Amino acid sequence: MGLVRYILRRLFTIFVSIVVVIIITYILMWLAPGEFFNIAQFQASGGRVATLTPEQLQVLIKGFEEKYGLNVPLWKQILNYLKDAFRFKFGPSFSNPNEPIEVQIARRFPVTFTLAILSMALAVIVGIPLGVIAALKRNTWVDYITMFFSMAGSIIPAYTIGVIMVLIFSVWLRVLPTSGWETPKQMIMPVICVALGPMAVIARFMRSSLLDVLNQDYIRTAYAKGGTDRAVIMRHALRNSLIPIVTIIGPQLAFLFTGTVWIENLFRVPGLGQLFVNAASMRDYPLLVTSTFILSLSVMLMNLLVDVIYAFLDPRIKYE
Amino acid sequence: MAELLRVNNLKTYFDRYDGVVKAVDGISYKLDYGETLAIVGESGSGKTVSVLSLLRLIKRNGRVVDGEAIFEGKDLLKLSKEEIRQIRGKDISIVFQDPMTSLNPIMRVGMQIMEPILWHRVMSDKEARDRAVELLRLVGIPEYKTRVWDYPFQFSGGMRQRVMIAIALACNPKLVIADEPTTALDVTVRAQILNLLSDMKEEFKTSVILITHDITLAMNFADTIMVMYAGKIAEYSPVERFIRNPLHPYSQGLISSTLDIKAKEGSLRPIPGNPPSLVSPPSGCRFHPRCVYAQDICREQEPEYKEVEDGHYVACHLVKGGKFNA
Repeated sequence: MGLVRYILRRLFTIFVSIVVVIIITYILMWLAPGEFFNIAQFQASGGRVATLTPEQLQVLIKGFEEKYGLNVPLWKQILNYLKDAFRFKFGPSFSNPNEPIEVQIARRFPVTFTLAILSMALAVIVGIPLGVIAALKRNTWVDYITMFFSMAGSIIPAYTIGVIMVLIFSVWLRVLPTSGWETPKQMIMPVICVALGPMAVIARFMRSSLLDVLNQDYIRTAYAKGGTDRAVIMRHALRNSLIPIVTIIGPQLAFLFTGTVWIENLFRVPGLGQLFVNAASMRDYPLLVTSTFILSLSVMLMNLLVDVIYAFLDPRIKYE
Repeated sequence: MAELLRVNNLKTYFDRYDGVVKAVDGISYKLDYGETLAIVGESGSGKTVSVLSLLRLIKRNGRVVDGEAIFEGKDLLKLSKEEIRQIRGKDISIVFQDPMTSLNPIMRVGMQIMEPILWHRVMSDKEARDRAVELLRLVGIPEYKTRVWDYPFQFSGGMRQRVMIAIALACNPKLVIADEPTTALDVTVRAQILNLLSDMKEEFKTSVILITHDITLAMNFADTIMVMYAGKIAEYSPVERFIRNPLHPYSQGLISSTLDIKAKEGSLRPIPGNPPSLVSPPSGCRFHPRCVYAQDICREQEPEYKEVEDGHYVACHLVKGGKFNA
């Protein structure tokens, strides 16, 4: 009972937060220099100066503004956008007027979703055991090596690792294809590249979380009761130390849904990342604001999901 | 009475950045079946370390450097890791100081009581379950049949300490170590927990080592009193004799520094100064900087720990012929 009411209340908070985020995004876009028309026109003319007269240009811009509802005050634009956005109707984008944004997203979302889920699964499956081993073997060479690679994994950008991997596995060894997203073989490198960052974060969090738990009084109690190392770690230490890890996995996953931009570009993966990057560089306002909408919605929903999972992991948490 | 435990010359040191902390520096004592021994002293006197060393539960930077601890013919300090594990929670169990942090917050209390039973294969799963319920009844938890599947956070501090006691008793241990079992509790429930410990001691016929800094409590509860100061035993005595005739100036100080509601005003005399550093303890008698009777010999020579009367041991230069002569 309490949980359902809690979720409803949280959903309302999410709704309010997103409205605020969208308002801020609109104001920022309005303040930012540059506009779609000049860039698009410049690119359309292949870099040559436009051949239109100023009058013709005025007519063209007027028609464009009417089509996209830009001829009304900013607050009304925001209101119009929000009215449709919560029903997942985002209208056409500037650069692709014939296809509504939701259709563009729907086509690309499964790709990014698969990439994100596979990467996060890999990050969790490898990261948690690494952190556990490092904690149990703390201050030995096992710990130092694990933490060195973990540090390296979170410092070196994913695309740098991607380029190096392409060089090794595609150019030198010729075992993996350089790009694409159809066969499992093509997915290996993008998934590993995307996974490395979260994997490193999870390993380091897991290490410190487990070390913290191992110092707790109830671990000493468990040993005093006659527990073997195995029993104490598996039954008492691990479950308690996993609780904080859930907190970081949620938001990390949300960022992966939209944050795989560089890897998608590098490996020619037809996902959301490419779409959103182009939106920003092209000043494609409807697409840009929608990417913000999607990103903030997924981060907030993930956080909600994490909090709900918390209630199952930790009996002390009761949502009222 | 037969002897259950004999500790000889136990030394436990901790390595720290500023040197070696000699937390327990050569203590010897014995404990009989059914006996209650109270270890009394200020914080940092080595009370807790001296008993955690027996079960080899001291922190990673600590090590037992010397001594033996003969428990039923076996030297606890020389057992293998697996052999000492089989003794923990089965023959010797511990009730820790802080029941708020000593129970796993996300495990049902029934399971936490069952664990030592199952780990030592004392009985089957089903029997262990019934045993957990029975133990909760014994330690006086109301509605124990349903409470057994509650989580620790659903219990008050006093109730949690009752659960800790139930865990300690789960395998019918021969020795229960109670490490300041009432220090973290409300004053009002302290007496209840002590009475419970007393009752359980009768019921289960166990020996008890009670660690406390409260000398009054020790004198009420124990058969034997052991006063520790700076990692050494200052005095060890049967309780009647100790009450009648505390010999060590530190024991006397401990007694006169406790509040007595019937006492005259001004009779409360705290011991001046603080416990010494255990990295570089004072020369001679470790208590001499705080001792009002200190003489030259106390500063220069370490007093011998010797028996002055039958079963009454003391380490003080000023005790001669069973009397304290200042």
